[in-house]
Amino acid sequence: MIEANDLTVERGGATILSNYNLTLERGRILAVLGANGVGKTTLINTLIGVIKPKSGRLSVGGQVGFVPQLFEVPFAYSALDIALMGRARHLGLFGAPGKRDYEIVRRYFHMLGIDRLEPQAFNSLSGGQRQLVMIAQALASECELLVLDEPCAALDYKNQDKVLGLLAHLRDMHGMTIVFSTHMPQHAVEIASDVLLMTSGSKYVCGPTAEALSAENLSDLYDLPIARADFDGLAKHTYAPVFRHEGARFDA
Amino acid sequence: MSNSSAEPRVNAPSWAGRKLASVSVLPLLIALLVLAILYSVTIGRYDLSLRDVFYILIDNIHPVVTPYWESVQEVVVEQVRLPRIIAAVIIGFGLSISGAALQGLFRNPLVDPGIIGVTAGAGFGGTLAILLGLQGYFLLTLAFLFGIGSILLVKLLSTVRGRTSMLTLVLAGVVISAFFSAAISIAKLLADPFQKLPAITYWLMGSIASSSYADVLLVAVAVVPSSIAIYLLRFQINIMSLGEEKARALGVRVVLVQWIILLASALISAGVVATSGIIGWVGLVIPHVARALVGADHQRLLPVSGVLGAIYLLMVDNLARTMTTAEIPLGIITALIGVPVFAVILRRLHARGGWSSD
Amino acid sequence: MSSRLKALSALALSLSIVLPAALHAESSFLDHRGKKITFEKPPERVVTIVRSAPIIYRAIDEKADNIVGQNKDSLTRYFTKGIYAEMLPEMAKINASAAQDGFVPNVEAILAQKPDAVMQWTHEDKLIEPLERVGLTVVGWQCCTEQDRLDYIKLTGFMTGRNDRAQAILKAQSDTLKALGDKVSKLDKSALPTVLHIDKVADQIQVIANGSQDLSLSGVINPAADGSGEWWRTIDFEQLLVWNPDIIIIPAYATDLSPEDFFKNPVLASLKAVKEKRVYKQPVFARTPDAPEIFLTSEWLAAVAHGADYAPDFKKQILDVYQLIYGAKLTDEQVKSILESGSNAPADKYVELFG
Repeated sequence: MIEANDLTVERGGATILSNYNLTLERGRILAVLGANGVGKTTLINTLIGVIKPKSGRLSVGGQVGFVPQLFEVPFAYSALDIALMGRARHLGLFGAPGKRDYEIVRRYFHMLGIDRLEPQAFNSLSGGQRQLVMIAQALASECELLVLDEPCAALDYKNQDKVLGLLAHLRDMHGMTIVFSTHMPQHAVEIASDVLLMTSGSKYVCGPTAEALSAENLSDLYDLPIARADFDGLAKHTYAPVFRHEGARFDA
Repeated sequence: MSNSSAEPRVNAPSWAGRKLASVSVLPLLIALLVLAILYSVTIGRYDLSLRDVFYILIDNIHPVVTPYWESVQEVVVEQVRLPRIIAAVIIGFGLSISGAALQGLFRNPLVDPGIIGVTAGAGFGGTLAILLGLQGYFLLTLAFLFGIGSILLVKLLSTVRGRTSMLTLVLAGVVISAFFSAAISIAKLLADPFQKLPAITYWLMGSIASSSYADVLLVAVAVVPSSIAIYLLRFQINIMSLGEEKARALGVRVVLVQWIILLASALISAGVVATSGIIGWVGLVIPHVARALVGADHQRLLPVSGVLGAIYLLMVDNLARTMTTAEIPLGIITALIGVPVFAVILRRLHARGGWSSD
Repeated sequence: MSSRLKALSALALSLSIVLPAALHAESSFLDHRGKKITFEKPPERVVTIVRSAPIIYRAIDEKADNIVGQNKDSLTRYFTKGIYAEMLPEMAKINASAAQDGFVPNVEAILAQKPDAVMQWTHEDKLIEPLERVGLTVVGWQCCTEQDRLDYIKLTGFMTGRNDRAQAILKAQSDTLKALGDKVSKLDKSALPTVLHIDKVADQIQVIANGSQDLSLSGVINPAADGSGEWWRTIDFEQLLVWNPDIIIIPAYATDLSPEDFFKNPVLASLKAVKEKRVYKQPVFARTPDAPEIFLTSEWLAAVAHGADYAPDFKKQILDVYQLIYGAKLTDEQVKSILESGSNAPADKYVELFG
């Protein structure tokens, strides 16, 4: 689905990514982890085609749907209005949504269980609700690759669970390929088949979760000891930071 | 766009602002417009009832009754009042629809062609044309070119590395407007005081008092195709108001859409300026009223803004020609009404937490 | 044929030509646009948008009965107070809604008067088109050279059918100016006095650079004339000092300026004209640039510059001219006020010259 070779991407005169190589097969989920500012957003923007790489080759084998971080709109658009915008790629420059477009969007609202949100003002929805509307928008574009920028960042646990479940469902039932970024390695453990650990614009580790997601790699990534943690009584594990209360200088 | 917290914002309306069933509003408004036109034709020194006007006008299409009116009355209706009424309708429509489109494009409900400097630029273009002795479509072309020029300047000043700051945009608009106003003053200084200067001064004031059908045609040529282009982009404007990057991610050809809307707005402004001088505040205020009626979706907002603006400016023109013995320039009345309304809008927006600016 | 029969038939023949012509009174002429205007008989209902047209029309027609509408500015400028209001009180009664802002016609108000003709400026298409659009006859006047002014009188003569009046007025003017010209030609061309017309003395000084008045008729020179076509020029005091004109004239329309203002102004005290008290206020016959009596200004200026010989018996001449043009018998008070004797009292020799 995604094939990137020797990708170099610049932004504002600075080189953010250099010589990136990335492969992702169809129907798999890639979790992107990294500290703030390493270039996750730049990578995502490159994948969705908003930024053109300075050099290298990028090929994406299908329509891309993008779910950005939570935001507000300047006007009182309804949730339906917002989701409808996902149909843009299917309408020409001078086109406007018709009956079929409305049906498609409504179908996704129903699938996501947010029918009753349709007429409500987007800005008045909670973060979790907004996230779902945004996912409906991306789905409405009928994409084969779904890219999400920190979809769980502003959500409480319950809503995070909902989103993770939804992403897994999309992969299982709809054969969707998914890329999402996150700060929590646990998300990757839960649903990602592959991970990309971005230490910097030129240093990264990429591979199947089982191999690449390890305590050492994560410790390198976050420059903080990360330890594997097991759940009491569950056959699950996760990775959690070992906070040391260090790093900042305080007055003695 | 700022990230929100997971909590819902307390002040945001829970309904998408559609207070009237959006289906019936537009036909209702159009009917209201037709009534307003007929009513406006009855206003003036010559007493004419609505019935008289109706029969006189219908007579042109198909005689319904034997003509009982004096030929002078028919002349007054068809040659004196009707051209100016049609001009007012077209101007009001164009200013409102371009104001709504610009507000969507710039994601800012406090924008109109005047604020971003187009009106001043077009005004200068027209002044220059008069100085050079040009009229009609030549004047329109010069007004259009300078209108586009001012948009380019404003965009240049406010866009850094592809991102346009809203605040800087408005400030740049103020600056460019001031610049062109000064340029107009210089032009007036250079103009010969007997012929060109009075022509420039009168033209800038904004009056459609002597509008002929030729003037109506000119403003229609400027406004109608541009309005159609803007309407065709109604869905794209919706998406543009998410922000340039998000719109691009959704597959919108951002630069093309921006250019079409800016060019269309400049042409509308040029047409309005060429016909009736500088009229402001219409494109700023009317879209807000329209939004309160039918919501923010531009598929409904654009035509409703247009028709509402047409009715509004028609009423304003009626006021202009009847209030006192001297004709009051349209721009002055729209400012007198627009400024306090704008102040109210500003306060309400501020109370609700302002607009999400870049 | 017997001589009696011949005489009778000659009489009958000539009468048959003259009478119908006199009765028919059709007139056809070209207005300043070159457009042919034809009136079968003199128009009975005339609306004027040109400000000075009512004055000229009244002068030629000897009555104001046929003027049914005028520009508001005509009423406020001329017919509410001043010499025209005193001489021609009937003008204030004419409906004044033909135009309000500048010269833009108020079409409905004009139509309400059911006019036969409208008198309007030609310099802008927008001024005439709305009138012709509704079928009105427009007589177009061009602005504003000396020749144009002579034409206004001729055109009005055609309109009213009173070419005799037009000729009489034009003759009075040409006679006066010819007599003046004869005297002026005897002057030494190299030593003509300089005259500056100043209408504003505030932060900056505004002078008439290239006006329409032909100053050579009065035998004087305008140092500010630069052939630029610009009517006015704004100058500073230093330029004024450089020119240092012999005489300073305050135009009649500069109603808030008088010679006394110049004499009292300490900044201007070093000017030659101020020192010699040769600062004069133009008489009222110069108030309206298009008035038929404005030619008196040239004579007046010549007298001021060169002495009383150049305007012999000026007071009587004023009386005669106003009698001719307006049929008005002016009182001595009125003549004095026309001459601005009050404002000009402190000026040099004004009382001697004009009494």
